[in-house]
Amino acid sequence: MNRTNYLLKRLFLMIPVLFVISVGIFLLLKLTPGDTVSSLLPAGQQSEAQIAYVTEKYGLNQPIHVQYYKWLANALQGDLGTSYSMEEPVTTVVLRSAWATAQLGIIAAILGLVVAIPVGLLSAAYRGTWVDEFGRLVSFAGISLPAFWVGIVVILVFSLFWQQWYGQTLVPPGGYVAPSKGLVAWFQHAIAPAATLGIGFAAIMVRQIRSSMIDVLGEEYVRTARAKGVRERIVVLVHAFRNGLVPVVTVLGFQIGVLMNGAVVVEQVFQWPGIGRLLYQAVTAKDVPLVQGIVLFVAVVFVVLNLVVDMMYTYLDPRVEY
Amino acid sequence: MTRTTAARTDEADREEWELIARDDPLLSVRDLRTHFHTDEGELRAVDGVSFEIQQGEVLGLVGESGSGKSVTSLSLMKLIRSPGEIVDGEILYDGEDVRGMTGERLRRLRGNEMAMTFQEPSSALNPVFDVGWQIGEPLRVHEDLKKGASRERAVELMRQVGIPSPEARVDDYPYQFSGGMQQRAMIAMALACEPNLLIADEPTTALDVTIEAAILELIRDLTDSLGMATLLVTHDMGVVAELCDRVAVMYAGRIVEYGDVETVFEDPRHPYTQGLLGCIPDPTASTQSLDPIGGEPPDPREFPAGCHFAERCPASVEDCERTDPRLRTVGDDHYSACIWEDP
Amino acid sequence: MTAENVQRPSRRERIADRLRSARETYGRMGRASRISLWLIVLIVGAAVLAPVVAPYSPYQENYDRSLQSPSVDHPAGTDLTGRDVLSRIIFGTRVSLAVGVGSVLLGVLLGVPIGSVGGYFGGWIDEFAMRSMDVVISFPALVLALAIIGVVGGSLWNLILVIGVVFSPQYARLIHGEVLSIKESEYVEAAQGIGLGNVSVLWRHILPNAIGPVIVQATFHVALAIIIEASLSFLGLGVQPPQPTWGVMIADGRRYLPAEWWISVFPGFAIMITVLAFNLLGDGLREVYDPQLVDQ
Repeated sequence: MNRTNYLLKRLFLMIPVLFVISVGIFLLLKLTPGDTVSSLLPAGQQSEAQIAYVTEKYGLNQPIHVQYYKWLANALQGDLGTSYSMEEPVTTVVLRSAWATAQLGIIAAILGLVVAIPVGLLSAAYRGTWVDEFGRLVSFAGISLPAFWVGIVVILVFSLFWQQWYGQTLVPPGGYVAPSKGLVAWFQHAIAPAATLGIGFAAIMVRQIRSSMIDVLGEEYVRTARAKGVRERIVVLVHAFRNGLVPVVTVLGFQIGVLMNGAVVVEQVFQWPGIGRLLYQAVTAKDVPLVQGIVLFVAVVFVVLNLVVDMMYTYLDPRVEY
Repeated sequence: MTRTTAARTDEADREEWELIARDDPLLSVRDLRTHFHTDEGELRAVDGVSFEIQQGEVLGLVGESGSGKSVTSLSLMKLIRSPGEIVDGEILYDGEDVRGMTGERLRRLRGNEMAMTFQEPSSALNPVFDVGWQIGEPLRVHEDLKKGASRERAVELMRQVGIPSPEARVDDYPYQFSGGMQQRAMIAMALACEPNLLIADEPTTALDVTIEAAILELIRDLTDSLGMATLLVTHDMGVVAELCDRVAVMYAGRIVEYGDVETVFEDPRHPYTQGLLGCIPDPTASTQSLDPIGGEPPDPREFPAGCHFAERCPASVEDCERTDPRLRTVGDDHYSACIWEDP
Repeated sequence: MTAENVQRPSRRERIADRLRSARETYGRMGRASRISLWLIVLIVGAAVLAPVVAPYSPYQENYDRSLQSPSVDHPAGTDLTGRDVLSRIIFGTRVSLAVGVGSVLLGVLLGVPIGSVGGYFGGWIDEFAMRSMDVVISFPALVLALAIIGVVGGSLWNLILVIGVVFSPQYARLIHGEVLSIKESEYVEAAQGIGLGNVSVLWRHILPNAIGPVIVQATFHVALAIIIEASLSFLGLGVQPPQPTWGVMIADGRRYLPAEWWISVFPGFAIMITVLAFNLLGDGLREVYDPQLVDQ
């Protein structure tokens, strides 16, 4: 099988997965206390005509599988309904927020990797020594820190206290500036939430890189490299690390989940208009179509990301058959 | 019949390696001891081994699995990793002490002056780099060749070791090679910098018989044409007979018989060698046994005080459990570590 | 193997056996994990004995002592209504542990039967169930919990319920894999051979062998559940005030930053220490139950 066929096969296998997700999300609406019509309409707009329109559009007076079908048909056409708290189509709102979250996520992932790769490699290379033990404590502390609290402490120290001590803030205490409005201002606003988000990510990556590298450093081809007279640094960074990356990449999807968990609270703390904060707003506003839209979006992103990870895997490990 | 009663003293060690010393060896191993510090105690994998190799000759290091022959070969290049450690002995390469080598000097030795192939080529080759990259690497490391030049040399090396259509296969990954081709690729990699000493650890174990013969012939030809010395590590007496000039028979961390291949094969003196060659002097055995030596080798954490082989030896007497026999001359270029000169 | 060999040992023997293996496990854990275990014992003790341990009532308002900075009287300061922050942290342990332990228990109780029965009998329903579980597992837990909690509303029981449901697929999949590998082993065949029923084979012979990885996963999950609970409470979607919870305390304290920083900062340490203790314990248990992960 070539790469294209493999891709097509994987895309085909996504269908049942997406089916399960869509049923789950549809049922979310049904879980809502009270009747479905009122959860689809804001309190002020429940006129006869509105109710009749919604009832017709979602087939609310019909059996549940018909309702599901109608909902799915709309969703497949990109119509996830209208967010009444935002007064905009759900799709528009979700995509806009997703872009803001992506900015944070990418910076967080880069910061996280810059820290995690050297710490993970050192922990593996100096296994059992104080370097390793120290790395273990620091990474577990990182995993155990609640991201929202870290965000608050970051704001407290680098904005509020900094202001008192030096007369100006080091980072703004929150808010968003679009990259198009000036990269410097954008970066100043993004760095603190991204760093906060990056801590948990880095901490988990350290553990994974360490254990993967320990496995790989015991492999015979590493000894072969040493027998060739390759410098120890190159043995670890080239011969071992290329192999060590393979299992790390396979759990990358899970890692993005970790980032997503953090985004929910970190965006709220830093007033960053991303998808996590949007979910919070949708939940507190009881904006069910928006909640559904966000969960569906996150699910699809996850399925696609996992596919991308699989494809990366085939590049990293030439042995993988399609 | 004479008996030796030498105890394991430094003096006895010295006598042993002086006894087997020849003129101008390329590699001289003297009373090598490599132990593994395990939770269950000190594992004496190599327990006082001495041998020599001269330029242009193939020495076979033969023994059962677990006899310490692979650990011996790894020790020669200081490739023993924790919890293993070379605890005693000397390794002299061209008169220079390998045990004392560190840093740059050690790096220049490895892959350049001494090179090694490993027994399981499928796991000893790196799965994520192509074969050409791996074969060319010693040249990039030791001779500062650039990527393109090292690849060109890799193609030549692959042709030299008999890999068909090397231009096409140089970009392949190890998993795309058969076991025999992987072993050839590994030999090509070891030969890249034209080493003076090749250590081939079980080069044919993973291969079937027809490919085995071809690989052995290749090693013989390369040894002769390049004028290098080869240490061939194997468990197979047949391989030794086919290829080697001299042989060292290892048992439980020690060399029990050592000398010229033809002499040893024609007239094996140590009961273990005799067992390996399938000619145990046991008058009660009416038929040829498929497993000529019964029993198990001793636990390397608790070697007996006397001869390591005594427990399994058909010729053992009470004395064998007390006396620790050393190599002694039993013929012309022929040494055996047994209290019996000719059991 | 004969019937005598698979005879069930007496209750006393089994308890003694378990105690011995627990002591063995403890002996093989690293130092950090042992300290963590004792820390957890301490934290659980503080939660149970909160009224005895805490210097003040967590609800006691005292406007004379409003917003006091940390002192000997109030080691972690006081909040706006003069409530002692330390006492509220100690009482907050109760909610965190209740959600942490409760949700994990529920997750195990839901996941283990699904995974073991599915793995034991197999078939396409099992296949489909496991695929669906994979979907839930790959989903970010907090996002899922937030979406469901947002719809069903926040309370202690809803938190336990939702987090438990979100965790359960991991146990199902874990047990599923274990059951598949143990199913083929000799002693299970022997047990079937002497005519033990499916259920008792599962219960007596497969599950006890699969329980190690479940305990490891559960320990890590308690840590994660505490973080999720704190996050949801912080967002105002968890346990409702005046019940003291760490997440709510941190959220309330934000209004008084930077001057009265202690209200937000100290509960965060409580979360970190508790979660760290469970994570390190989980890591120690993993080293014991899965040694090839650590060495070789």
